[in-house]
Amino acid sequence: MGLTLFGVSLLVFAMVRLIPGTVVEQLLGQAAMASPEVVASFRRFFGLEQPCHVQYGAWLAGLLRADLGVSWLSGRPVLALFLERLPVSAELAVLSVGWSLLLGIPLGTASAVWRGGMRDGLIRVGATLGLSMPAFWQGAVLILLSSLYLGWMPALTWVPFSQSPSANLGIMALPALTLGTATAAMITRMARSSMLDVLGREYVRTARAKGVAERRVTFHHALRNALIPVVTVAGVQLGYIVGGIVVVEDVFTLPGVGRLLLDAIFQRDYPVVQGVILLLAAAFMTLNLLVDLLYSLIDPRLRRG
Amino acid sequence: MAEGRTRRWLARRPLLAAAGLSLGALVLVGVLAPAVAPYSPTAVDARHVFSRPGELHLFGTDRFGRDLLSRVIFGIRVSLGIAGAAIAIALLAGGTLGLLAGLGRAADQALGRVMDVFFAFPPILLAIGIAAVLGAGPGTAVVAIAVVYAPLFFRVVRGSVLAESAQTYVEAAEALGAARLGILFRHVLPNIISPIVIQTAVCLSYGILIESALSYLGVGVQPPTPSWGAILNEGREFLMLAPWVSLFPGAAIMLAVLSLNVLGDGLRDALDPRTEMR
Repeated sequence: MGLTLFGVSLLVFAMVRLIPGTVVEQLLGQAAMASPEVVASFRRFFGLEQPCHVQYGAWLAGLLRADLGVSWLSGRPVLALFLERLPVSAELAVLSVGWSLLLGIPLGTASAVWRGGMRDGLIRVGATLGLSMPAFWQGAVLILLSSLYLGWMPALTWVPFSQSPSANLGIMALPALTLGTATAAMITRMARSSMLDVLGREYVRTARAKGVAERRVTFHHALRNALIPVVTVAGVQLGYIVGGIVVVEDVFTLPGVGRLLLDAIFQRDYPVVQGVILLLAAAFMTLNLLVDLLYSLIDPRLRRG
Repeated sequence: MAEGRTRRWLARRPLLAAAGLSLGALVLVGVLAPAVAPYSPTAVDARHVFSRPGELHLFGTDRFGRDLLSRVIFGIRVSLGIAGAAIAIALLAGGTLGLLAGLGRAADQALGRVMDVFFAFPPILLAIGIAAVLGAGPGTAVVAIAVVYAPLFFRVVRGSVLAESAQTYVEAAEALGAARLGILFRHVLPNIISPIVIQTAVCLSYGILIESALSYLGVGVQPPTPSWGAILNEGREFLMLAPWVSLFPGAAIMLAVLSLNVLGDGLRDALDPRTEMR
């Protein structure tokens, strides 16, 4: 984990170092051509005239003090900018994962129980479709349909949940629906195949032979064991969710972390680009760690190990 | 005889056959684009700006009066081309490194640590980061997607190599004095083709999705090059006025990704004996 973190910091640092041409010249544009002295003073100001390893060391030392540098455009600390936008993205992620689990697990379980039937077929086709839809396109279609038939438009200003829960959820419903679709489809598929696997096991056969009611076999004996691989998939899908935030926030113009990243990319505000990518990767790693911990909650066999 | 068996096997899987056909048709139309497309994808026509889909323009036109059907058709080349090239590079690089991880514990550990770094990033985020650094363009998209998916091929190949290394035939080859590298490429590789093929189909569909996402966000292929994502990007401002500009390229993405997903599932059933029994 420590080594990986070090590697991640090195990669994120190298990303910005690899930018073709000098960052300062791109930033200054016309002014850079006019005056080499201005360029030189800017490079000194940003510490860019120092050797790479010195710059990396300074950056890393800053990281350890929770100092991610300041935005080149606004002069504000990157961490503050990130934390300001985080609630929007976190809410979007939680809502998306939430509904996809709530829908995916029952659908997958039902699909396995109805195996081979018409309803199973419908669920499987639906899941494959859900997996194949690009989020930005689904978002566009949803905006189009809801504006035509429901009179709903993407909100121009964001309203926090604490201020008005109904207005907030009204804004977040379609983005969360969009972001969670692929995850819901993935979880449905995994829940189905995992449930089928478990339903064929001997202890399920034993439970049935004992005369345990089918409903109890499904929900008590099988489902809990079938959930373990589902948790794995949900963990992998977190990567999709954390990355998908960038796309979905762009489609629905939500003022979250993803928007911050894209704006920074287009404005060449590299400290912000660097900081946001690093923080999102760190968030992803932390979430993965939490998923690993979740295993032992679901699977008591893992607690001793 | 083998052909007859394949045909019967496919006849029992109409969905798989349909997916294969639609993918084949897409590739064919893409290859023959200059002959098939009714107009040039970049021909501007000021008199037919935002024409609705109709006889003259089957998919309608965009804000410059360009024929959308032609743009979507030429988009096949760009989108499938970029995804294909990127996944081919990812397969070669990741696959080779995955095989080399079978050389010994030290190689495995070292390569594994490096790959862990890439796995620490959400895929699309890593691609966006790379694209942001290299600057928008088709080459950038290829590099970004290849870097994102090479570690996945590494993991799949490494896992399969590890499983195969315990097999008797590997021990036999070792006992006969064959070099480790030779065993890996000559004996192990042919035995782990199935998981690699399945992974390639799945990754191709991801590759198409990521390419279109990058272009949609404006960090991939740039207008006027007709990538499906780039067309969607150009259409987003006019979603209410001219929804067809957004709808058709999105449908094309979905068709390609859906076909690859169904194909991947079918290949898994056909090539992976463990799941076939279900």
